[in-house]
Amino acid sequence: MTEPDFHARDRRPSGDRWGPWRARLVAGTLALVFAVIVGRSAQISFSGPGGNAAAGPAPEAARRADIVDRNGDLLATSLAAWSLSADPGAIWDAEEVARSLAGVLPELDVPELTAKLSARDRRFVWIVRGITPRQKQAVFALGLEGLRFEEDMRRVYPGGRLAGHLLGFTDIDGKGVEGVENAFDDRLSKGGAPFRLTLDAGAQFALEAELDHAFETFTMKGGAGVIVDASNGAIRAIASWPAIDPNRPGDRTDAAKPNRAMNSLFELGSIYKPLIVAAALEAGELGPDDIFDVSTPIRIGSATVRDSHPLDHPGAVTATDILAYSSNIGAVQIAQRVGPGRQKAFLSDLGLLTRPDFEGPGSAAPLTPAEWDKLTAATVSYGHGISVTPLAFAMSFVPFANGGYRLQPLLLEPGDDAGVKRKQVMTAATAEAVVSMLRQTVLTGTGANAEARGYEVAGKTGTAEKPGPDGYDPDRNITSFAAVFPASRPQFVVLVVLDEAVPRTGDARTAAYTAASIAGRVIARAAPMLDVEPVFDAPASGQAGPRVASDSRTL
Amino acid sequence: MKHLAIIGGLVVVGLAVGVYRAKLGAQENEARIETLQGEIERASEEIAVLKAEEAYLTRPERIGPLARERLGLAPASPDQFTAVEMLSRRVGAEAAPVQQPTPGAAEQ
Repeated sequence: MTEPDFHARDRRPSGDRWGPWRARLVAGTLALVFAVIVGRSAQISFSGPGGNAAAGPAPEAARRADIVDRNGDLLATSLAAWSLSADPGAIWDAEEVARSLAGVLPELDVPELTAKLSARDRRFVWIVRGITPRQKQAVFALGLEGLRFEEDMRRVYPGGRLAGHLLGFTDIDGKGVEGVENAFDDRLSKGGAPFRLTLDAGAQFALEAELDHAFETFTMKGGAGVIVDASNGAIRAIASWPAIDPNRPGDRTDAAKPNRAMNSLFELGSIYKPLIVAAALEAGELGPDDIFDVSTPIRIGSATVRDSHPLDHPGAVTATDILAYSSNIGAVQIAQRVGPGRQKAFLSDLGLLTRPDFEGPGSAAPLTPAEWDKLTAATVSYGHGISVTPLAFAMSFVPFANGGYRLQPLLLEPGDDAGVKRKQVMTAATAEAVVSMLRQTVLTGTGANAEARGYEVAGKTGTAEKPGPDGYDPDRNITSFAAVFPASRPQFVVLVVLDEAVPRTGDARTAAYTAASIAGRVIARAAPMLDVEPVFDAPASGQAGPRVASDSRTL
Repeated sequence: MKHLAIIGGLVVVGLAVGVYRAKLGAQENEARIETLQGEIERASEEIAVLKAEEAYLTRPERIGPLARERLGLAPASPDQFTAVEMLSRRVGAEAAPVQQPTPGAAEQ
C-alpha cells in the first residue's frame, strides 16, 4: 500500500520558474480590481446622487404662454385637448358604444357614429377631435373597448370675439399666424408667465358693443375704434368691426378679415383741423383773437374749397368757430398761414407720415402726398389727400391730452411711465388751447351728439367722401370722431371711424349723426372702467352732480 | 494579512449594502418624483381648464345680459358718482350726525 504524498503540492516542476510571478500578477490584478470596486462603491455610498439622477427626463416642449389683459383677465390660453379614435374591428356592439359616447359627448350623432363603428374592415376611424380633459375622463370612465386617445394642445380664446382682431390666432401646429399671437410668437411659444397686454377687457367690450350698436343704428360696411391712455400711450381698447372669433378663424367673412383699426387706411376728413390749428398756434401764426372771413369759397389752382354747411356769421369767425362748425374755408386759411413746409413738418412730428413704430402687430404705412404744395396743404388741412390707420390718427391726438408729448403706442404691460419715450411736439399751452376749442365743438358745434354727461368730451367730427374711380363719391363717406376726455384734465383719447355709415332713421350721413354719437356712448360706458371720475360742479354751484353740456365755463 | 483581508471583505460587503440601499432609495425617490410631477401636471391642467371656464363664464358678453335681466344692474352712469365733498349735500338732512366717542368708554 502506497502512502499518500502530503507534500505533493510543494513539488513544482523544476523548470517552472515563472510560477511565483504569475501568481503575483494574478493577485495584483485581483487587488487592483478590488480596489477599484471598493473605491467606486465608497464614492457612490458617500457622495450625493449621481449626474444621471439629476438629469431627469428630457424637458417637454413649453406650454404656450397665456395672454391676459392689464387686470389679469384671461384672453387666450392653451389647454390639453384630446382626439378620440376607434378601432371598429375591436368593438363588439357598435350601437351600444355609440349611445354611451353620445351620453358624454352630446354633439355626436348616434346613427352616424354607429355606422362608422360598424365598419369592421377598418382599423381606424376618428370619432371626435379636440375634446377637453374632462370629456376625456368621462369617456375613459365608460370603460368602452376599442377606443384610443391622442393628446394635443389647443389654443382657446375664452372671451370669444373679445379683441379678436388684436389677439389673432394660431395655426393647427400652435404657431401664431395673426395679431398678437403672430407678433409675439417667439416669446409666447417659450411659455412662462402670462403675457400681459395694456388692453382693458371691460373697455374693450364697451367699444366692441358700441360698434355693434352702430350697426343696429346705421347701415355700414365696417368700423374701427381706439381708446388710448394719454399718459403713457397704452392702448386700452382697439376694435375692428365686423369682429372675428379667433376660436373659429375659418368662419371669418371677407368683410371681417381686415383689422381696420391697424391695417386699413382712411382719409379721415375734418378731424385733421385741430392738427392744423395746433400747427398754426405753434408757428405763432394764430392768435386767440384772430378773426377769419369764411364767407367766400377759396380757389386754389383748379380746385375750389367750400363749406357744405355755411356758418351763421361767416364774415367774422374765430378758430374756435372754425373747429366747432367745421369750416373747410377757415381750415384752409389757417393752413395758408402755416405754409406747406411747416404743416408737413408738424404732421411728421405727430407721426402721421410714417408707419407707427411700436412693439406689436404690424400697422399699415400711411399714404401721403407725393408733393406737399399749396393745394396739398389745403386739402390735408381738412383731411383729404392723406390716408392713415385709425391707430396712427388716435396717437396724433395724444399730445392734446398730455401737455404736448408724442408717444408710441404701448401694447405690453407694465406700462412704466418713466420708461415711455416722449417727444414734445407742441407746448402745453397749445394743447390746452386746442382742447378748449374741441370742448366748444361738443358744447355748441357739430360734436354735440358726442357729449357724455360728466366726462367733458372734447372732440372733432370728420366726414370724408371716399375716393372712387371717378373722383370723390358724395354718397359714400368715412365718418369719424376724435376726442380727448375729460377736457379739464385729459386722460384718454378716443377715436371712432365708421365706413359708409348711413343712419337708418334717415338723418344726415355725416359724422355729427353717426361717429359722434357712437364715440359719446363709448366714453360714457368705458370711462368708469378706466377709473375716470366724472367732473363735478363746485359745491357753490348748487346741486351736486356731474357737469353737463350746458355748462360752458369748464374751460 | 489575513485580518486585513477579512476587514477589507467586510468593508466591501458594507459598501455593497450601502450602494444597494442608496440605489433602491434613489429609485423610490425617482418614482415618487415622477408621480408628483404627474400630479402637478394634472393639477396644472385642471387649473388651466378651470381658469378658461371661469373666463368663459364671466365674459362681459354673457355677464352683462345676466346682470341686467336677473339683478337689474346696468352700466354705471355719471349720476352714480359723487365727490367726497359733495356727500353731505347728496345725503342732505337724512345724514345721521356722527356720534362722538365718549371719553373713557371701553373699546368694543
